[in-house]
Amino acid sequence: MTQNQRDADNNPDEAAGAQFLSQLLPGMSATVVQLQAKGAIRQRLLEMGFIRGATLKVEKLAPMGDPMELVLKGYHLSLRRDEGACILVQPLAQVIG
Amino acid sequence: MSKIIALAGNPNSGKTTLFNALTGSHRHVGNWPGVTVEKRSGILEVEDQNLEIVDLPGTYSLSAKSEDERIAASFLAEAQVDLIINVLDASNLERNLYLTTQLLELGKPVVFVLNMMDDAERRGIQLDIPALETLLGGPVIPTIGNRAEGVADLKTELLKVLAGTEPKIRNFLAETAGHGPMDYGHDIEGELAKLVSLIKRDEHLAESIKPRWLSLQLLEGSPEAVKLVGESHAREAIMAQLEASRSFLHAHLGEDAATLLAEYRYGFLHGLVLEVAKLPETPQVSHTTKLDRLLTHRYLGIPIFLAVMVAIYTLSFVLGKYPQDWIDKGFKVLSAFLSAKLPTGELTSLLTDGIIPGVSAVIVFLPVIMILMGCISFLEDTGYMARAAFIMDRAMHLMGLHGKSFIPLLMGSGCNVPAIQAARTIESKQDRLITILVTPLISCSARLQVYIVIAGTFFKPFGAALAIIAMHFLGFGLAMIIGRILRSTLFSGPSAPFVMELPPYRMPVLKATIIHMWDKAQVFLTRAGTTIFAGATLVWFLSRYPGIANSGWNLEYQQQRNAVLALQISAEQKDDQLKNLELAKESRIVNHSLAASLGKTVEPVLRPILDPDHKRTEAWKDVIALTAGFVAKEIVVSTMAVIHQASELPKAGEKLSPLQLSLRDHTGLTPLTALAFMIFTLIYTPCLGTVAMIRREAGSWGWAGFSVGYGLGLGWLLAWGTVVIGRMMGFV
Repeated sequence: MTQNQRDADNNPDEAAGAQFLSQLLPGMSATVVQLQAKGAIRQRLLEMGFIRGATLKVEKLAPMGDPMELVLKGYHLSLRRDEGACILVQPLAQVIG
Repeated sequence: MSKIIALAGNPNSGKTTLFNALTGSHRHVGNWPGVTVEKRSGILEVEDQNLEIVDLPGTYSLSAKSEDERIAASFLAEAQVDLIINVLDASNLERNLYLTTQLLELGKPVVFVLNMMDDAERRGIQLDIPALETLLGGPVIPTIGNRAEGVADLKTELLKVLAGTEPKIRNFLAETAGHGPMDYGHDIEGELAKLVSLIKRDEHLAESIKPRWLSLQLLEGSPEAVKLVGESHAREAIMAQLEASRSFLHAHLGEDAATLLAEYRYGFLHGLVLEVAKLPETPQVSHTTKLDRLLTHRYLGIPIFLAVMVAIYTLSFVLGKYPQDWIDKGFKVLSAFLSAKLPTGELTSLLTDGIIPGVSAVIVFLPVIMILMGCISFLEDTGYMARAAFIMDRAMHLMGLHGKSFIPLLMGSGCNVPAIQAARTIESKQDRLITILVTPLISCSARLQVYIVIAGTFFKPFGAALAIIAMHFLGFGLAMIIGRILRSTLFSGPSAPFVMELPPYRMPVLKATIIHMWDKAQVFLTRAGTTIFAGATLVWFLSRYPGIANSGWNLEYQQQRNAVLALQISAEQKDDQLKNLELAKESRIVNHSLAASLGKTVEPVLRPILDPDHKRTEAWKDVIALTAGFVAKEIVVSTMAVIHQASELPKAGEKLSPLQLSLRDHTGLTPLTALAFMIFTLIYTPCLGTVAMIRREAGSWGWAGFSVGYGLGLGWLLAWGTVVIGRMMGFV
């Protein structure tokens, strides 16, 4: 079973096009659907504004491909990709150009 | 008693700059009790009142999940805090106000400082300050942090609020019959009310903390709140209700309580910001975004970062070397002057060989500490530090470290002492501790001096250069491996999140950088200086006694001296002979000292490394050099010179110094055991300054002891392994 299939099994929203934040490419925007992180990471993400419905944009990836830079609530922050893999998002239609 | 004002706000909100502007020179830097988080406090003198200002660690919330948040939350809840100043970044209001929603629950008057107003204006954000004052229930003072604009207004406002004559202060708890400044909705408010009524059953508990605030913290799962309740006689009822409330909320609203609270807060703030702030219709590309296109560029980001590192390294360790040399020379001149003027004896030696070098060993660190800390503070204030961590995190994470660990490790190759102090910038305690514990493995410039002498003696020039480079790689490699091992053993808990703000680039205030440098120097002198001084004096004692008190030897030396003085030879020859006599005396004292006894006792342990064939008669002398090297590794060389009665300075026209010749021809060291000696010198223990700094930065003697212990163990193992494998391969 591939990683994607497994993700799809674990999460019914996959059918509706929800993805993990870590799968987004630079330039893509999305809204937060659900936090799957636990403990201190979850608390920190909540405080920083990762709540249901919040809009975020992937600004860029670090030179070595990890972490990623996001824009959320008008400020910039960085997140490791494995932390991004705990955040389920709904990508927004991509603005062309 | 003076009134106490707490300064709270997010990291990067300009809190510390405001603190500096308010307190001027009446300030004190210390630690919060029991932890290694810096506590800054100071006195604000205004209209003949003295107000104490306490700068809290910058936090995004009071959830008490991290050390910083715990400190801030518990200090703010204390009865003695009369007023809270909440510093807000006007250009990033929504997230900054998250902390505010919690501060308002504390039921204390809050004055809001809207900092970075210039940034907000530049981004086209217009703010309705009177509306903000009404919604937040407190006066809002706009300021521009790095120009100290608005500080005078703030001072007047503080007095007004403390005197109780500020009509803008609203008491939400009284107004809303129990509700806080914001309503968490029917379901949550219902559960909060149940918890509050149970908490109020314990009057003592309800006195010590606002029941509503405690209930909120309980719902959020704060371990501190649970601990507080644990001491109450009503704990069983409260905890049972908490369980019931949590499952009720989860069942009805579909998420856990902490998530729901955060969602309500952000929901409230989103509305509030819409009401008070007018954002530009087309957001402009900020100068930060433009700069980041270059500074965190996919290909250029790393080269630029490395260039910045080279610049800092050069400033700290190349430029910093000059004042360091002056200090060193100054103390040497002083010591030589005193030993010439004072009668020979124990007290003079204590002064000239013990105390003066001890003080010198402390002061000599100051230039490099101040320069490096100044550079780091400058990088932090510009916002580049977060980018540096962003760029390096991938590589550092592989080592079990954090992006911000790179700077301490790199600077460690200059000197471990300021490098460990630089680890302060790492927020997570785990990451910071791992970084502190592996930094001593990075080979510093003091150790380089030892390698140069040893490698130069036993290897051909090319081989010597190779051996020296290999030592540096070995240090970095070990730091990586040990970092990973520590991460998966002692620090195997969930690693702290790398959710890091990339703040807008800002021009730092030079004054803040200078204050920071001065603070760091002061902390080093008072906290680490005493340890270094005491250690240096102890090593002096070990390497001089009992020989120095031997009056027979002293008499003999005087007679020999007088005999030389009476000789009919040239002044130059006389000088030479006198120097030899003095070296012989020193050598005799050291070779019969307590350190020598220690060397003879310990030597069997080191025999597999330094003397595998058990043929050397003087292997114990290496132990004396290593003991002395604990003060500072470069002392290994000068001690060897004394022990072997041979100068470190080569005679004219000779490539090797008398010391090197003596090492090669008389000590029985072989190239292989010399290499093992170098490896052991690299690892065996951090030097005294580093140990003192570890104790200060890790917060306990335990970690300092641990670093010495694992250094000795690891150093022995690797040096032994080198000898064993080397011999198997046919080297001697």
